[in-house]
Amino acid sequence: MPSEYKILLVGTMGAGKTTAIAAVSDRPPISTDVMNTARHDFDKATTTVAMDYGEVSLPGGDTLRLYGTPGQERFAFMWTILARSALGIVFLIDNSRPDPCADLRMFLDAFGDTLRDATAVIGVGRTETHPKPALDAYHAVLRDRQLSLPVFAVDVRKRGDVLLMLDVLFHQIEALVPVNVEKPR
Amino acid sequence: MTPLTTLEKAYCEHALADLLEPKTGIDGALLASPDGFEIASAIRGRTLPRAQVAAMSSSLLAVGAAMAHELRLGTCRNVVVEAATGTLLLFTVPCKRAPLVLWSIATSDATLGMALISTRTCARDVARHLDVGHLAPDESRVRVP
Repeated sequence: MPSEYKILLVGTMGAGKTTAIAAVSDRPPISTDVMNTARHDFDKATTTVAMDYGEVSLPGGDTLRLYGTPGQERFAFMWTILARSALGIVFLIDNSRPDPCADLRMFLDAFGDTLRDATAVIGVGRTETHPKPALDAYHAVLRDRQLSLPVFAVDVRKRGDVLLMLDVLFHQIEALVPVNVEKPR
Repeated sequence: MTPLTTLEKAYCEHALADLLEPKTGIDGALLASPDGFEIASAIRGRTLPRAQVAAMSSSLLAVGAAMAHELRLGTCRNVVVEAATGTLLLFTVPCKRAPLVLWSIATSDATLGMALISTRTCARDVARHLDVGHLAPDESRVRVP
């Protein structure tokens, strides 16, 4: 019996959550992007205010349901709503931001409850133009939290990069879910 | 989106205050930018986390728009949330500068039709006023009620 797995994509505004979902979704992604009126804070034409949604069908018939969260903390109420029953989280970190390791720590705090029952991967973007901090710095953040999670350098515009992260996350989820359970919680 | 002038904000505050007339059955209204920043509000008899609900109204209307699109129903004009002690009416303000968000709270004993018409009329008036102001930015010609 095919299963469906709810995956959350989390990250700061502009980290590439909407782009990542569009890059891999088998169906036209659902978007709730609206005009960004706070251009002085972040020079981006649009911003996600509720969620993005996409789906990836796996060869065995299983489906990954991908939910992108709004990046701005003003919309953190949506993080809580979307995190319910998620089995996996992709933390997308923008390496060009002033303190991307602090961004990761903030998201690990915000999704700490979800991580008790779910697993995660870390995708670090814009490393070509902003090589520092190195990936080791993120491993150090995770070690401080007694977490052991994969960290990747990714270009979310590349379908292969995003699929690789999802593939690793899916295998981690499979290790979490009891063999005889057909549907996730 | 071009920032609203002081007079434009004043017009919005007046328009929302007018919505709270007893005949409408509305005891709270808030106008927000498309991405959920408060522009104007008129709330009677209660304290609300206005920044939070402004952001939430943007999210809720965006979900309504996404669902209407998914169901091929065209443009989402409003979302109605009927709760135990009141009804939340969320409207898209059809403003050419930017599709703003307007919500109002109708009390449980309000006539829903009256609250809907009043809020829709307010949304149209605000849109018309802001678009006129945008096309002819000479503030001296903008009349504040």
